[in-house]
Amino acid sequence: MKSSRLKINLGYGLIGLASFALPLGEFKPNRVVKGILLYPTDLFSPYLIMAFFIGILMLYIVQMRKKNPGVLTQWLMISLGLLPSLILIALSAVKISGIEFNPSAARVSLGSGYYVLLLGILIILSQFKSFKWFLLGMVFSVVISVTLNLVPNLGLIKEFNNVKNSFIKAIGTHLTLALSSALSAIIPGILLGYISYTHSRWREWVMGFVNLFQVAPTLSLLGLVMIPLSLLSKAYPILSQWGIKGIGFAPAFIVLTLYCLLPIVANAYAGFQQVDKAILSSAQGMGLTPFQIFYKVSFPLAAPIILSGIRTALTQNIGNTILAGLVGGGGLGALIFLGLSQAAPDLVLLGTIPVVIMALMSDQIFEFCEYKLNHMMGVVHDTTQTS
Amino acid sequence: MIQLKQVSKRYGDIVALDQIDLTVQDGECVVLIGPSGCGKSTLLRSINRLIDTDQGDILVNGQNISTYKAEDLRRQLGYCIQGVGLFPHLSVFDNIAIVPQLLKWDKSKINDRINTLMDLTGLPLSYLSKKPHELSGGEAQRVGVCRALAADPSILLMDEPFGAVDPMTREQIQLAFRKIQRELKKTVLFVTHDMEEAILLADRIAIMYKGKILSLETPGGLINGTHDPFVNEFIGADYPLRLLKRYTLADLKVINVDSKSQLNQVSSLNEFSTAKEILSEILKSGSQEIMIQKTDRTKVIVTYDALIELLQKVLNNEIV
Repeated sequence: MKSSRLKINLGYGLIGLASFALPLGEFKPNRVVKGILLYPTDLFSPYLIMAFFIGILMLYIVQMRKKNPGVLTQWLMISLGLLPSLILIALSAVKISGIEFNPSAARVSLGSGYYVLLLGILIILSQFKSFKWFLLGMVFSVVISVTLNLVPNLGLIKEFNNVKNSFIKAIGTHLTLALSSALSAIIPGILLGYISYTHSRWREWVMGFVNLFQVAPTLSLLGLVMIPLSLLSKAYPILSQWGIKGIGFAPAFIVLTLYCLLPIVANAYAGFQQVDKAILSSAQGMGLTPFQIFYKVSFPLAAPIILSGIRTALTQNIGNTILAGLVGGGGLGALIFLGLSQAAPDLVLLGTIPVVIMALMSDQIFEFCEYKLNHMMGVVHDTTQTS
Repeated sequence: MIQLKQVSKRYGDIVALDQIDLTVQDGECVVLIGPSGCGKSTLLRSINRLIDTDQGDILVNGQNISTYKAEDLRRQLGYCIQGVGLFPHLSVFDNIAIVPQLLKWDKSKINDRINTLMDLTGLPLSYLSKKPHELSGGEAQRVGVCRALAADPSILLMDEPFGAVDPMTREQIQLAFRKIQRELKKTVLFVTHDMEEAILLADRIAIMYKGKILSLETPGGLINGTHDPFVNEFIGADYPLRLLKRYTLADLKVINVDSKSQLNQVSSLNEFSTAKEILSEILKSGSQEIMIQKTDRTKVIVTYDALIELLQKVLNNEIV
């Protein structure tokens, strides 16, 4: 009760902060110059703002009294959910007078107020049972306003139109790189996990080996891989014809694969470790060969935990793949680092949003798979604890 | 037949098996019993080569086990361990079918065999599709017995198979196993630490201590004790009383009575009751005899003297 009250107050506090003190957006005559900050009063008429506050107040009262939402409250909640996309449309349509600018280069970026407001709205709506549907509706309304071209002047959209072709290609490269490197870590990861389980003397070496990659800074690791690769491709020109060079896909792929090893090895080890020794002993006593014990007993019983390791690996890998942009491996990292070097936060945002969406989706898909697998196995594991 | 000749095994300074000689005849059930760490499990596990011995020969059906490939040997020996060790991700059917599948039996033969085994252990066929976690402890134990018997091995190795179930279920499954054993006449080497289990199931009881077999006797043969003080202490002064558990009404001399007679009060026992239960009932009744109604409604009288007579017969080796 207390914590939910605290959350509700926090949510409304954030909305108040955003509406009074923080800029919702920033109008920029072109990409680089500093722009004009836009506050709610610059976007909406005073009457509309008044109506907004009255609505918010009503919702606050309803929520504090813990009454079941009536029809009016539901409409208020829906309007609140639509607010983020409405503000986007208003930001895009804002008219600025007094300065000269080129309409095709001018853009509106999102300001701190917008993010704070969004957070406040999410906190408030999360207190209701139908939060999932609200969230879906919010995302949908934003997608609709983008596809119907209602927000043409938004910085994000302008950047998207600039890099449209390379953006879609970047998503493809990003996914390919993230998936292929994570996939190629699976079999070595499981085998290393099994070896460290069966040969306890080797465990420290294996774990130390995979930990090394995890603690080494990614950038230095990339640098370390680039040198031998470029030497190799110089020594054997045929390699560079296959795409194995000091820069590009190869070093990114190798480093990402190494990065994926730790969660897979650690979970595989834990998975094999938790298989009941009595089960293995009876399997051996019944005359299963070591290989049959592995694929008929150990592996299926460890599979749910191994899967959750793969889930961790892939989800973190989607984020890590950004670094491929630094060594010419492409992907969304290329866009993000371009945005950073050009001081264009909208371009950075454009590169980041798909990364976040892909990571969340991969996590959700794996959660579903784990659930199914656990049911199939008839083993009740708490897989949420292991990653 | 299982033969052990001068088998020894050491773990560092600890002698787990000390020049063991033991022969288990065809169709015989030998129970190995002793305190923890006496080497009884080591002995059992050395037969299916889960443990390699240092010295001596082990022969299974006349052939030295070192001439087999370990996996081939194990597939010929039924093996059942404490806690069953059923594979939790496989159905009951797949659990039982493992060894026949390894031996490449054809499908219809496996199906027939599994149906027979389920019938034998008193499990309904509908259980075949269940997963082990859906079974009770006793049911899982029965599936474990089915699995050990699956490929119809002539020899069964059982390592405290009923150790992990509650006492009531344990007694039921012990009786079921005894019935199966009498029917199938397997050669069984059975490890336990429960004397009553040994008394109930064994043709001969081998008492082990510090890697040696101190005594190898029929349950009745132990009634007088031995020269070994450890064995006497181990079987306990109340051994004759515990031995009564091995026998039932069928082993006792009874007086038939007219089923219409209403004279005596009828006890709650029947022909499946053990002699130990009958003695308890007599002690409780305060008289020298009790009346027992069999399941076919005929009535018999058992006297205290009949129990004395039974133990005398056991002493004289007239009953095993």
